[in-house]
Amino acid sequence: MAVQNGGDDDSLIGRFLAGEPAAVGEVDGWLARAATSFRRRLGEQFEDALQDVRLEVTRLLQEGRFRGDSSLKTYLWRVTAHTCLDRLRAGSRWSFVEYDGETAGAADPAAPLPRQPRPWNADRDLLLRVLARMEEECRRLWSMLIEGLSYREMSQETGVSEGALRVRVLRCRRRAQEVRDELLALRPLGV
Amino acid sequence: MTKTSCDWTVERLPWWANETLEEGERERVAAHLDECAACREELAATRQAMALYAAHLPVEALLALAEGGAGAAGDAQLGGGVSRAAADAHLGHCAACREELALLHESRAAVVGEAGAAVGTVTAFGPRRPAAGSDSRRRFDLGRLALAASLLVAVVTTGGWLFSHQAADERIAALERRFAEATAAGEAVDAAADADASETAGDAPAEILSEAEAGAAADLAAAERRIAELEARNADLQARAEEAGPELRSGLTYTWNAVRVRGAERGPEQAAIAPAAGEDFVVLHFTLDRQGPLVFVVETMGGRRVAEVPVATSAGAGDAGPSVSLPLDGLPGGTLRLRLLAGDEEIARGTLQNPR
Repeated sequence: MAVQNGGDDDSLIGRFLAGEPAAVGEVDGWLARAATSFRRRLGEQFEDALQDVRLEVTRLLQEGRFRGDSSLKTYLWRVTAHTCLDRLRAGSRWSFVEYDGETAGAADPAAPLPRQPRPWNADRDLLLRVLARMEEECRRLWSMLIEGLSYREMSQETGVSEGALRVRVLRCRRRAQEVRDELLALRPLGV
Repeated sequence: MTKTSCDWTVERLPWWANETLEEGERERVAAHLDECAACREELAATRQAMALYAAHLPVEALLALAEGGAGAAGDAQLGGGVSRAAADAHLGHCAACREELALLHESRAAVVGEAGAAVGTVTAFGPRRPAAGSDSRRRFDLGRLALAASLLVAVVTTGGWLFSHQAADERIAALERRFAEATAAGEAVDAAADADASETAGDAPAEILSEAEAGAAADLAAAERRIAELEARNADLQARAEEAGPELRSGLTYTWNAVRVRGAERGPEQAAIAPAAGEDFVVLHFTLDRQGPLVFVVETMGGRRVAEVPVATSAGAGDAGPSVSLPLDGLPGGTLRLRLLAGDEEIARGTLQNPR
């Protein structure tokens, strides 16, 4: 459903794409204001992010991607916020992926493929629901793991012995699998 | 394998996965994983748990919440595959997502909350085409900016190829040539824009010109900083290669668009990689200790060959070697084995985790 000020928005887009300074200034003002709240978090990347936003907005408007489902201002806010938030998240540390050790010698082509666990973490909604049901201690311990702390460091930070810590972490992992199975059992068939 | 060994190993898998085990424990875990399929499955479950505990709300869901949740409740979808109920549950314990949502609220209020936007100062930003009969002002040419930006991005992205330490000097020289070409191209377009603008009467407002020039200067400065950064990293790689000595083993080096290479401590011949989020291909570089025709193959862990490509090189021993661009779409998902073959001889291997 088109927004009531669609005519004004279309006019602004047309004038903007034609390079009219007033229109360009108006749009750029919106973008700058939308991005300002990310300035502190983005730090020295802020200007690059803002320029990315400008280029992306120009491209989207040139391609006619604004359909009038919302006001132009809201649409531009979404583009800006999405771009800035993506950049914030991309700036976090790389993910580490460990692989099974390679066995020596040639593989037997007739050997069955190793059984892969069901990729339940591809279901984001399920994943978040499971995470929300986990005990706070489990979330805290695994957050430390993800941050890259050794079990020695975690032991020092939590005051829990190394052996007990390893057991608790393992218990949290298995508990997550139980919670997942409980939620899946509650799901309607076909979901 | 005794039960004790499995228990001992399984307890340490999370720290194996986050690479913080000490060397002795790491070697014991690696040896056990090589021999125990059950523990390899435990490792896969450990990785799933890491993905679980690292989960956050997708950006689409946060945007919807910042706009008032789109009227959603319960199982209604916010976007990004997340329901309102799951999002609310997550926000109850995740300070990071709450902070991001607060940023979005603040950002939205700054734009949508105000009644009528004032006309701001024209910045270095605007499309190319001058409107007929418009005021006699020089406009900043977004086409110039886009062209220069795309060329500069290509230049600094190409800098990723600098991670081939044996050809560092050549790479830097190539990078400098391309940077000069990008600068010249930008200047040529700028000259064309000037010619267009000179047809109109009157002088351009000083603030428009200075802001346009400042924008272009900022772009070039950013690219120069990136080049300096890449040069420094390349010099470091070169120093390390020289320190390691002239002898090279054949192996897979790392790729610029993938998560860091793992297993480097076991030698380049056992590299393990994964593509960075959103990438649909990986670029693999090789170091070679021989010349002659080679074949790069991709296999499932069960040994079924799923892709192969000839890798011809006429380079001598010690050369940086060729590279291969491997698209991921045509490959099975999961862990794949990468092998570099010289005839029947395997001279390098690694693994690739394909998320597709």
